[in-house]
Amino acid sequence: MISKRLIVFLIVLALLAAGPLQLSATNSASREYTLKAVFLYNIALFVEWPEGAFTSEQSPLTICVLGNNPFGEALDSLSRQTVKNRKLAVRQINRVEEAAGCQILFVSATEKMRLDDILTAVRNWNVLTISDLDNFAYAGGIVQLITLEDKIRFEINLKSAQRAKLKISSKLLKLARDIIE
Amino acid sequence: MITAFFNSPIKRKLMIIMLLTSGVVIFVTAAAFIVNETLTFRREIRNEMLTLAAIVSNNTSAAIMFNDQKAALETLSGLSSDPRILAVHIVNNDGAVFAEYIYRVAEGARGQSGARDFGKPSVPYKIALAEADSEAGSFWNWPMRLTVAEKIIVDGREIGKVVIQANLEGLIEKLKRFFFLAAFVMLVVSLLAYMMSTKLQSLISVPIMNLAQTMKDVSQKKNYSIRSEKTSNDEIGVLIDGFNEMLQEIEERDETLKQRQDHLQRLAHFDSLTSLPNRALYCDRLSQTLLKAVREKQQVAVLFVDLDHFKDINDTLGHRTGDLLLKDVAVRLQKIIRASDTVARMGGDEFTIFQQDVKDSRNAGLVAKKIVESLSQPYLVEGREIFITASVGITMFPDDGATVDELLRNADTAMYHAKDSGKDMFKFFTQEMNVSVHNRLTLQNSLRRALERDEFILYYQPKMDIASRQVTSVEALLRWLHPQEGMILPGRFIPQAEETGLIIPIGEWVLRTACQQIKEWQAKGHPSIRVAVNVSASQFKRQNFAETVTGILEETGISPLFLELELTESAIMQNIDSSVEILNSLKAMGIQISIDDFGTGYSSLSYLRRFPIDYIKIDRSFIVNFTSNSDDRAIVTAIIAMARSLGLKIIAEGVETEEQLAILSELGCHEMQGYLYSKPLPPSLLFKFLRVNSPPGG
Repeated sequence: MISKRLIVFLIVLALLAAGPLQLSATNSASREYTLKAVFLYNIALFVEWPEGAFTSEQSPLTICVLGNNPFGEALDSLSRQTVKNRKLAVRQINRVEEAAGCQILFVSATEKMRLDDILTAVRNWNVLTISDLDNFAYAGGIVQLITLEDKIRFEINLKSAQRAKLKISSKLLKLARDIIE
Repeated sequence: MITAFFNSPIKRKLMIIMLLTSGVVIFVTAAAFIVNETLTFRREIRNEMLTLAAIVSNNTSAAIMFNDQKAALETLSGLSSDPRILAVHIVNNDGAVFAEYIYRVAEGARGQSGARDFGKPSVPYKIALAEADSEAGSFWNWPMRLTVAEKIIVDGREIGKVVIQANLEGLIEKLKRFFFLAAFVMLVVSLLAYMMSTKLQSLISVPIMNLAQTMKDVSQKKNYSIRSEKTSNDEIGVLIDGFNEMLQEIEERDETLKQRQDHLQRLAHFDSLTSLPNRALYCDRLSQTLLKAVREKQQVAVLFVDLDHFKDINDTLGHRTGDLLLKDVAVRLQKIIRASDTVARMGGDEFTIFQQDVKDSRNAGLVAKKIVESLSQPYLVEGREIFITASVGITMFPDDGATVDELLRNADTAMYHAKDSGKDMFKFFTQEMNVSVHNRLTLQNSLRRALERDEFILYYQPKMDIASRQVTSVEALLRWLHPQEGMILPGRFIPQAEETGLIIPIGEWVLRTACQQIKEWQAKGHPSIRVAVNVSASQFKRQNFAETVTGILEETGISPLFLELELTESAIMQNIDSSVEILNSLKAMGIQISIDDFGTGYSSLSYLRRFPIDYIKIDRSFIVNFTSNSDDRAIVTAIIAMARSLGLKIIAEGVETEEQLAILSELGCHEMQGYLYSKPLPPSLLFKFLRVNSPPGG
């Protein structure tokens, strides 16, 4: 009962925030990833990238999904949104090298075995790494999404964020279940 | 109420005004302060709540985004420390409540927050929204709570609202406290104002009350010398000045009044010429003294002083000289008497004195003697030496009279006796004097009847020309043939006649009789002879004297050439101008004029130049002793020399011896009259005499 209400709420929230963006639970992507897609977008609102992270004023905020894309069409609908006056762009990549030019890098569960290599590769890039892999934050990822009692929470590795020269809003930090320093 | 205010004393009015003023000022100040305080309080709490809402909005935006109610509630729970906050609602764009905080007094908890039934608007939230809409309520219609709302915005997009409801009861509390403070301050200030006004009002009311008190004092004590002290230069000062000036004026007026009263008092009781007490004061003092004398068995002497022949001085030297002489007399009298005695002027030349506590009447005699001696000393008035004497009568209380009137009357009688006895002396009153006064009165009565009964007759005394020894004229002399007393000479009754005014008809009778006598002699064929008639001063003074003479001449039908009028110096000197006029008219008719008793008056010979005079008669007193007395002889010599130089004829009266006649002849005197030649003769005997000494041309 509660969960059903929550879904409705989130959908409404997403609609309010995203305007014409349609988030449908009926799509091929799972309900969980629909929410996680919104999370990606929401987190982007509370993070500041350094100057050099974008090639120009007009360049979009690019979300790159490394590995198998679990979001389905949920991410496509995000691409029409804007974050801090930047358009959102979504790219699916298979190799970490392609992540250059991405501001957000979502590491798919399929990349679990190559996680250390991936994190090592992007450690000095101005890129926000997000994943729902276990121990992602401990491994050096910046935001790890956790699902608890039907709710999605996150942990943040502040050290990694600092290395990536990203400023994470205290509001976001306040909501984090754990912060690794 | 208002009437009561206007009737209350100035002191109270001032206090009421001051208290009212301070009360109104405090009240308005407090009211303004309360309004200001209320508005400020509301504005501040509103601003505070808006700030709070902004903070909450900021702090819960992420929680909404990430659907983290717990985090939102944590944020809200921090508000529980503020008792003013009644409720906080975080709602999404649909109006569904995401998180709420509601302050619950009933449950005793400081605050409780929860997220029950989120999704639909809670009841408090609905109320809150309604209140938020009516936020712009009027000043007087405040809700007891204040609602503010703040949008929650992330990245330019509104994702919800924070609605905060605040309790305004704090304001009520604050206003209550302020009200009590204001009431307290008002009380204190009123007390202060009362105390100060009590002191300060005296600045205005005390001078006014002092002035009022002074006014009361003045009217009660009738003391106009009191002045109100001026303490300031304001309107009250002006009032006090005016009041004092008014008092000054009243005082001055009183002073003037008092002076006038004193002056009137003086006029009423003192003689203005000599400054001696007048008759009224004298009588008053004497009656007081008599009462005292009766009690203490003392004697009082009353002296009546009258100057001899004073009238002559007035007549010949003028009233001014007479007045100055009276002043000198007053000074001399005052020097003689003791301080306890009183000297007064009764009027004219009469002075009265009384002496208290006289042991012996001889003492009074001594004082009277002193007075007579002192007053007979020469006086120097306006450079002129004047001689005068006084007669004094003395009465003793209680022997000679018991009352003031009786004593004065008897003293007057005694004084007359002194005059009758030769003047220049004093006399004690004796009971016999009253008898003689009685006689005097009897004489006056018979004198009055003498004219009616035809008891007067005229005698005639011839006058002789010394050189030719011929009769020139005769002088008519009055005799009274009294039925009981026989013949009485003029010296005894003329003063009485003068006193009673009978001298006028008697004088007229003499003139008429003399003229009729001339007429009769002419009718009998006797040689015509001129008759000299004496005219008294009072007769001459009468306005119609000249007409009277003319009338009698016409009546008898005799020529004025046979009439000669003899006047005394003092008679013609009284009013020189009119005398000259009358004498001129008489002279023009042909009547001869002669001056009688010349030398006894005080006029100078030079005056005579102005009068149309024919003869000067040297008074018998100069002739009587002039053979032995060189002074008298010098006077006679001088008179004759001067008269001759003026072209006047001179007659010597009272010539009794050949020796006198020889000297007079030698000195150049023209005529003589006296026993040496003939005594006064009745008409029948006169012609026998004349036949022997035939008159010239007869």
